[in-house]
Amino acid sequence: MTDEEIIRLFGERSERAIAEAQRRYGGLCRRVAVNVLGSAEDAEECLNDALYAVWNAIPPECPQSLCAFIARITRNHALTRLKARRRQKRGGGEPEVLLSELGECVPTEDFADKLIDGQHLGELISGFLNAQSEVNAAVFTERYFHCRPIAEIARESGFSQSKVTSILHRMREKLRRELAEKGEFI
Amino acid sequence: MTAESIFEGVSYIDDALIERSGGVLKRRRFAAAVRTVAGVAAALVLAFGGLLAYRAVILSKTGTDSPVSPIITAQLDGADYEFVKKGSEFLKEHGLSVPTEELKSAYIGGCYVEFYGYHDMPDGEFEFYELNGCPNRDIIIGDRGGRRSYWAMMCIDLPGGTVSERLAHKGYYSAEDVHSLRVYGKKVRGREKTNEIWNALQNGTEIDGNRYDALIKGDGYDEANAQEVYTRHADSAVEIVFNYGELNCLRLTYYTDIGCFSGIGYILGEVTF
Repeated sequence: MTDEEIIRLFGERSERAIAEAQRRYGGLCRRVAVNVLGSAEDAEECLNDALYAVWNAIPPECPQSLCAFIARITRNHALTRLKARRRQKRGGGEPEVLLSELGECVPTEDFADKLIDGQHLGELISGFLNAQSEVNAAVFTERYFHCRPIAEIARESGFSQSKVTSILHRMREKLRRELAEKGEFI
Repeated sequence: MTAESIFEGVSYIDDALIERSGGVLKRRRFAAAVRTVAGVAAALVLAFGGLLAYRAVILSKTGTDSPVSPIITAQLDGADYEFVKKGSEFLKEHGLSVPTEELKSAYIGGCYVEFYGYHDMPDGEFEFYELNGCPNRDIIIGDRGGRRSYWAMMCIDLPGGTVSERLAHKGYYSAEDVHSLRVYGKKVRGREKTNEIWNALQNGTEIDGNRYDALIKGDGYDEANAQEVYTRHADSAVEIVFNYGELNCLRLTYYTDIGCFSGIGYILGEVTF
């Protein structure tokens, strides 16, 4: 079933829409949730929440890309759970590593108090990624959107792990500079 | 702005980036595999057919005990030749020993390759080759480092911008650029100096009257914190694309992040067409 057909089912309030969306994008979303939360059980709950949120969102929403729409909602749900878990001081695992890596992108301490809307920050990051090579942007996205381990990205791309690490390091440094430059005007 | 907010911001990147990232990586892997196979076939054709459209020397790290893997890609008429070998194995396969001061040459993948220099080149000769010994070359790149804690520095001076600026904006150099490319060798000793130069390079400031655009190599063989220094140098891996019109294009990809903690040889390269 195509994305358009699934979206139409959502529009018609047919519960089959959820089953079809899960069939098509469940694997991808489950992987994102597992990568963020590090627990298959939590990920399953997160996926259910996300699909419910999609059900509530369409309509009125009519996403251009159902894949990105569902993945984004799943990731946001996973992040919300992760934040709750961190508040209870139950952190650890890959997400902590990701946060520590992304900490390198915060331009200076002055920026720590600067509040930037997530969506606006997303636009800045998109602009940055679109200016990079396709492969580098993909490595960054796989790491920080899909939250995949470096070893997995290396396997998929055919790069060595050290090469992936090196690409990410350079990208973070460039992003830091970009955010410092553009963040000034926010 | 915190790490968490950036992590959250990544949620809102463009749909297209999210959708295509997996596919891009898979395609990259496939293309690399195809290139390797095509490269071997094309190299055989060139070797037996004598279809040498250009002459090039590509630098490579070497050394009997060097675990460095140079990745060398030559691209001609749309075909790619890629070699991924340890420096020493790479040479042996082409009937060469680790380079000595005697000039060695070979045809590799359709390129006429000349090697200069030798393992652990002594003081003074670096400058000799880099600055005086190879006149009228389009490009000479040397690298060395290792046992005696020397660090090879490259200062690449291009009209109209630094290497990184050019790479960022164009992704390649035109033939005109290459002919005006100048490469300086600068030898320094010890980690502190290296770090100083590294910082200058990062900040785009001058040091000792030179503005460094790329810093290639430095293995820290006998340094206490070799890993740390090495890792920082790895970030300066350089990818330079020399574009000679539409047909003849040599891409030199040079990674220093593959691992190198023992003796490093020294090779100067020449690129002429």
